[in-house]
Amino acid sequence: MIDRLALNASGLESRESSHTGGVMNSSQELIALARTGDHEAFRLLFERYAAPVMLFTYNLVGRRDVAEELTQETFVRAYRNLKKLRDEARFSTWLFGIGRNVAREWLRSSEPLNRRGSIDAESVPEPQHPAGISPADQLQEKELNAAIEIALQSLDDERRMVFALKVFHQYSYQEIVDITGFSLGKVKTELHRARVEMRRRLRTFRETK
Amino acid sequence: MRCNDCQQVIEQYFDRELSEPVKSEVRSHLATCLTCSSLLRELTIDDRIYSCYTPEVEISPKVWAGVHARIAPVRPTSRLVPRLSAPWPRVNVWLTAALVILAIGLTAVFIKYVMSPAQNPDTQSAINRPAETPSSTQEKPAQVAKHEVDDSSADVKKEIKVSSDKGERTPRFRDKKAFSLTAQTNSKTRGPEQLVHEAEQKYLAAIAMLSRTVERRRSSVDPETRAKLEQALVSIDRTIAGTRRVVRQHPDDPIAVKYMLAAYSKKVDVLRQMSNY
Repeated sequence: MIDRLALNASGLESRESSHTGGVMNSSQELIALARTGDHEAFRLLFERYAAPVMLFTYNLVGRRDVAEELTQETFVRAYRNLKKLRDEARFSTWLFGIGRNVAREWLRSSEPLNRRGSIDAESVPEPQHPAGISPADQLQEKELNAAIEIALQSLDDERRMVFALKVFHQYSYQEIVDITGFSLGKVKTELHRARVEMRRRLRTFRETK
Repeated sequence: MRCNDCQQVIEQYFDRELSEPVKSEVRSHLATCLTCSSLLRELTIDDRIYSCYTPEVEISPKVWAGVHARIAPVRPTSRLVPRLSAPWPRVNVWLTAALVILAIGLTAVFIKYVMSPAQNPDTQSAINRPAETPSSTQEKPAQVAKHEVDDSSADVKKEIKVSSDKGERTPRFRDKKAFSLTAQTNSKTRGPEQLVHEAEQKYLAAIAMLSRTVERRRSSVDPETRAKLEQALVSIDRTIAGTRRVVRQHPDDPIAVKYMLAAYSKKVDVLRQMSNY
């Protein structure tokens, strides 16, 4: 199930999507078109990458409304700086790097109380579940979602970023280095510490698994 | 491989980040070590838990709408007009109204005091013409300004006369205050866009009047000067058209309104200059 959530960068790059007129375009072709000012091509890129970027920014800031704004800002900056992208095959990591900068700016400028909105049962989104799941299981899933979000938001900003990129977005260590600008050693250390802390906070749910 | 070495890289093994030789060493060690195997199992359980995390983070249509609005190119209408769109924040509409009133006032003062009646008998005769109804779209700025001032003065005088007749003290301060309050109320009842429209109509009326004067005096201006002035008029007309377009698109933008009225004012200046030859 985590594969459904996580969008492997290389998988997304090679995946093709429909374009107007039925022509299939890879991400690299769309990027090349978008560079020339083709808004339609950029819109297709947006459709491909908006959800993972939004999930990433949501992981970082913990607020859906802010995540939407940051996603918008990320894509605006990406469009304006497309010419600076040297390797089109690394568009995903480049885009996430922009998202990380945008989120970091917001985290630095916002008051601590505003950063992580109260994560209560109502604010946590309803989990997707196939038909036939019992109400008890549904409730447990909702509680688990809430617990994971609370635990995630309790992590240090940099630790949370590394953890989200690895666990929810399945980026490799090197890709996380490219996105965050951290050293490889720091990525490994932060990931290990995040796992230990998350494990401690989710102890109750671990016992049922 | 010893347990210490294996535990140092167990997470990388789980994350598939190890090179093939090291991976195979770890695999061999895990086959015989319960402690390290349990660590791997912990990581697997964690992964199962995180795989149940399914946030429904939907992208609302307004996100792309916002992106598209911000990346759409803004073509400058004229090199004389600076970019008036995104960087400028939305300003209070009453600030817009205040700027418009100020522009009208300055223009009225300019036309009344700078455009001397002795130099331009046509303007004088227009000013002396009877007041037109407020609903007319052909009001002249100077005439309207004078008309409003005269009316208000007449109202004040009437009030003074009535109260004097009744033996009351002349309520000078109260009437002035009432007048200023009335003026403020009048401006407040009209919205900013209406004020801008009225200002524009007044400028157009002044321009029409001056243009007729200029046309009559065309032969008295030497060709070279006339050509220069007409060239200036063409440029100003282009600026007016461009700023009008921006104001239509962004009626709440006080800077756009200011530039449009300034362009009109400039045209009035040039026509006045031409009519003085």
